Order: sequence, then structure tokens, then C-alpha cells
Amino acid sequence: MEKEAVETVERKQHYILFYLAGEIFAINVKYVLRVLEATTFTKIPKGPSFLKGVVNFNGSVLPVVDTYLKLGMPAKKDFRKSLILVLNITAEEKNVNLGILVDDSDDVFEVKDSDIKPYPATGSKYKVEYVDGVIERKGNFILILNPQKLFATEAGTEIGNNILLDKENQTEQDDQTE
Amino acid sequence: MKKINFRVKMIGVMVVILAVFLSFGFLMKNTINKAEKTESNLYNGSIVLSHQMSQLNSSLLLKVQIPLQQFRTQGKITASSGYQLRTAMKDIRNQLLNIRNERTYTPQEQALLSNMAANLDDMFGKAENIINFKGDITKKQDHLQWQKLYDIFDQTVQKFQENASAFTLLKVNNDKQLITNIKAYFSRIHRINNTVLIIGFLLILFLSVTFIIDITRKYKMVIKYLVHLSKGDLTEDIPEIAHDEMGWILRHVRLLQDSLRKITIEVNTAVNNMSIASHDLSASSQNIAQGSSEQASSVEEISSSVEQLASNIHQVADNAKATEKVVVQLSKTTSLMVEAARKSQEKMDAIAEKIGIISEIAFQTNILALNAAVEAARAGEHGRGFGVVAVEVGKLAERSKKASSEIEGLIHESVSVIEDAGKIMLEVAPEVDKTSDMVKSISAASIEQKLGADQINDAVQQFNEVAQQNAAASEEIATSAEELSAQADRLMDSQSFFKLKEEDMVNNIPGNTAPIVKKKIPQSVSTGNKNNPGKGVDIDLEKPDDLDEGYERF
Repeated sequence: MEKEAVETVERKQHYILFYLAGEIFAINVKYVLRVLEATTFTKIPKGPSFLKGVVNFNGSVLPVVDTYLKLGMPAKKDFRKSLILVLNITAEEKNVNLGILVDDSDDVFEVKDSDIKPYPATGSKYKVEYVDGVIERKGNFILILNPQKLFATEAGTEIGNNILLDKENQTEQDDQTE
Repeated sequence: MKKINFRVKMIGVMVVILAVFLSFGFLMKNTINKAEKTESNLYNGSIVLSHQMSQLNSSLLLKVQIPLQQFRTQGKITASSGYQLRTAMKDIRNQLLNIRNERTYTPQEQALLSNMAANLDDMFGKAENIINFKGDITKKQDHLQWQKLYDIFDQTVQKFQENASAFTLLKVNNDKQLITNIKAYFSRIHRINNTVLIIGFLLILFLSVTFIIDITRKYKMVIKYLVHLSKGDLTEDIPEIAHDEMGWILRHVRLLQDSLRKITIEVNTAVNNMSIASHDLSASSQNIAQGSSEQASSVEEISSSVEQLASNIHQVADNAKATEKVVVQLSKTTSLMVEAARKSQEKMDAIAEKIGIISEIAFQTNILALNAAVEAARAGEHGRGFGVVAVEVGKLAERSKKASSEIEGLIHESVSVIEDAGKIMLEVAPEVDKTSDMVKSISAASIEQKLGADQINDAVQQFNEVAQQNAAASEEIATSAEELSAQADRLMDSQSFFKLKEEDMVNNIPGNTAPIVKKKIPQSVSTGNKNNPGKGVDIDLEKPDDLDEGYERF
């Protein structure tokens, strides 16, 4: 979506930084609607495997995607300090709100487009089409994910609004170890 | 001769003596009988006869001649007087007959006696004539007749008297002859008796002397060997002399000598052994005495050590008591510390809670800041300033989150440290209690130890006394052993009273009686240098030296 057409010599875009299993990722802020505490999220016992649960977002039920499963990372169980990034992505001509679980997020920063380097096509961990590019920030390489492509399948799946918030599911959250 | 014993000899001598006496007695009896007989013969034949003859004569004179002479003067004979005269004459005739018949006479005497009887008859015939004379004497013829009758009578009387005196003379002569014969007989008997006496005496003397000599010889021999024995001389062998009593005595003396030899040998052996043993005993007991004194001094050292130990134990007991107090204090302190740790943990928990709140606040703030930043970014150029603020807030939140997490970590560390401390304290507390108990038991044990040490001390004192007593006793034993040794030497001296033959000394001792152990000692002692080759040379050679020293010492 190109609603900002302000073209300077160098276009700067805002990215939100987040952490997943020790890796640092960034997503363009334009997809991000809100950052939520993961404590509000409710698990769905018999949902699809990628669907971790649902969260109440402004009165509507928002599906939460298991990012770790999606990115082939070890499953996480403690979501107390985790955050949920509420994304707004377009999938199959539909505007869909979607929550993704992240470990943490602490920064929103501007990046020049020229600073974004292409993600190497071969020998890489993730599929190239999911990654817009790589930037270097404070000595760390940060993958800029493309949520539209990454969560296209999840966004396409219908999720019934009839799923009730079940408070007992909150007991599924395990004790912290640290 | 050798086989006849003294009893038989004695009996023989007695028999001989008896025989001599008997024969002598018999002879004597015979002689006396003979003498008696001769004496009675003599008495009958001489004294009685002469008495009878004188009686005859006197009665003839008184009863015949005198009345007849009266008649002569009177001139007449009465009938009664004639009767009396006849009776008297009858008596006289009977008397003569008695004389004749009472004894035997020699033919000569017999002749004389018959003459006398004839004379008497003649005389009595004449007397009868006188009595029967019936004349008257006044008448001359008759008177002459009368006178003549008387003269005849007187003649017959004369004849009778002559015969009688002849008979008497003959009898006297015969008696003299008889006495001479008797004298000769008696002198013969006397000679025989003397001969018998002398022969018997000589025989008895000979037998007795022989017997006495025999007895004396054997007796002297017995005495000699007995004297040897009494002097302890066992060297000479006693011979077999005879089968009589002395021989028997000597045989038994020899048996006694043999026994004495054996005993002497054994006693010598025993005495030597005893001497050696007593020397050893003396040395050993002196060693023991020395050892006992050393022991006594050691025991005294032990006693002082034990006293020191007791005082140390006392000190330990005091220390244990002090430690017990300290440990009790420590136990209290530990529980207090545990309590304090618990409290501080609670405080820490409270702080952690508060920090959690801060952290939560920081978390929320971060989310808010993120949302603000997101909103600001979405707002584009207009939200830039807000975005900067939001980012700054986010940074603050980040910092406070960081700080709170650091504090949290610190608190966790503190809490864990305190927990550890508490745990350790809790772990320590029972240990401390245990320590307290242990210290108590140490205290009790040290008291007991004190008692034990005191008891040990007492025991050691007793031990000391015993050791000193032992020392004294062993010294006494040493003295006794020396005394024993002296006694053994004295005994040996006494025993040396018995002198043995060389071969007895050398050969007999190891031979039959003495066992092997005893062998060496008598050999080494008695012979000194004559040792049995190949048997304990060193010991045997040294032992006499020791003994010699011992002898010199005593």
C-alpha cells in the first residue's frame, strides 16, 4: 500500500524491532497496528497448529500466530513477558488483522531504504520471499520480515468469531524458570 | 665251716659245754655215790662193828663174867641168876650172830668170827658147867672143882678175848687197807675229774676262742665297712664273706652301700642341677629385681604421666564445659540467624515483588512507548516529535526494565544467597545441636575419663606398689636363690662326704638313672674337662666355669 508518497532524496521508513529466540527481526511499522501484552492472549485448544490462540483486540477476536512454529524455531511456552504485535496485512484482497507472538520489542527506528541490503538467496535460513532485506544496526544484522508474504496463509484462513474467550486456558501458562 | 651260721655254732658250743658239764656231773655224782657207799660201808663195817663188838664185850663182861665172878665168890648160883645168865649168854650169842650176819667179811675175818663163835660156845658151855655145878664149895674138892671150872671159863674167855682182839685188829687193819683203797680210788677219780675238766675246759676254750675269733674277724670286717660307710667312703666293694649272720649283715651293708651309691650319684646330680638352677635362678631373679626396679621407676613415670593426663583431662573437661556453653550460645545464635535469614528473605521477596511491580510498570511503559512510537511512525512527519518522545520513553522504560531486571537478578541472587545461608544455617543448626550434644558427651566423657584416669592412677599406684613388692620379692628371691645356691654347695660339700669310685662318677651317672637333660650337668660338673664329645660343647665348656665362679663366690 502506498499511502505515503512523500519521496525525498532518501526515503526513510520506520521499522519496529523485535526479538524471536535470540534473533532480531524488524517489521515495517506500516503493518503494525498495536503492541499488546501476551498475557491477554487465550489459547485455542483445537485450532490449527499454527494458531496459538486468540486475543481480544478492541472488542474483536484476533488470531495469534505461533511465530516460532512458523519460523522453525523451538517452541516457547512462557509468554508472560512476550508481546503480541497486532499486524494489519492484506491477504487475498482482504484486510486482515493478525497477532504474532514475539519475545520482546523495544525500539522503533527509522531506516533509509538504501541501508537495506538484499537478503542472500542461497544458503539462507528463511525463504527469500519472506525477507525484504537485511540491515545492520549497532553491530547486529536484522532481518526485515515481510508479514504480507509470511503470514499470507494464516491470514487466508477463516477464523470463526464464535470462539469464546475461555479463562481457564490461562492456566496453560507455565511457570517461569528465571 | 663257712656255711654254718653263728646260731648253730653257738648251739654247738653250748652242747659241748653241756656235755662237759653233764659228764663232769655224772662223774661227780658217781664219785659222791661211791664215797657215800664207802662211808656207809666203813661206818657199818668199822664203827658199828666196833660198837657192836664193844657192846658184846661189855655185855659179856657185865652180864656174864661179873655175875659169874659174883657166883665165884658167893659159891652158889641161884636159879634165877642162872636163868639170867643163860638169857644173857643167848643174847650175846645172838649179838654175835647178828654181827656175823649183818655184813660180809673176808674169809680171814670169817674164820676169826667163827672162832669167836666157837669160843663163845665153848665159853658158854663152861659157864653152863659153872651154873650146873652142884657141889659145895666149902668142901675142898668141890671148891677146887669150882675154881677149876672158873679157870676153864676164864681160859675160854681169854681165848674169846684173844680172838676178839685179833678180829678187831684184823678189822682195823682191813679198814685201814680199805681206807687206803678208798683214798687211792678217790685220787683216781679226782684225776679223772681233773682230766675231764681240763679237756672240757680246753674244748670249750678252743671252740669259744675259734668262735670268738671267727665272730671277731667278721665283726671287724663288718665294722670296717660300716666305718667306711660312716665315713662316706663308697669306693671299696664289700666282698661276700660267709653265709652266716655277719655275712648277712655285710650283704645288707653292701646293699646299703649300693643304695647309698645310687642315692649319692643321684643326689650329686640333683645337687649340681640345683646349684646350676639356683645360680640361674639367682641371676634371673636379680634380673627380675633389676627389671622390677626399672618397672617401678617406669611405673612412677607412668604415674606422673597419668596424673598429668588426668589434669589434662580435667582441663579438657573444663574446656568442654566452656565449649558447651559456647555451643549452646552458638545454637541460639544459629536459630536467630536462621530466623534473620528467613526475615531477610521475606524482605527480599517483598522487594522483589515491588521490583516486579516496577518491572511490570516498565514493561507496560515499554509497550506504551512502542505503541506510541508505532502511532507516531504511522502518523508520519507529524508524529515525528512524538515519536522521538515515545522512543525516549521507551528507552527510559527499557532502562528501568533493565535496572529492575538487574535489581531482580540481584534480589534473586541475594535471595538465593540468603536461602543458601538459611539452608546452611538450618543444616548447621542440627549440626550445632549435635555438636552441643557431642560437646556435652565430651564433657561427660572427659569426666568419666577423669575418673578413669584417677582409677588408672590408683591402679598404677597399686601397680607401682606391686612392682616395688615384685622388686623386693625378686630381690628376696635372689637372696633366697643365693642362699639356695649356698645350700646346694653345702649340700654338695655334705654330699662329697660320700666318696665314689671313679668309674661310678664317670660312667654310672649318665648311664642308667639320669635322663638326657641331666646328663650334661653331672658330666660337666663331676669331671670338668672330660666332656662327652659332640654334645653342646660351648655350653658344657662354659658351665663349669660358671659353677666354679659360683663356688668361689660362695
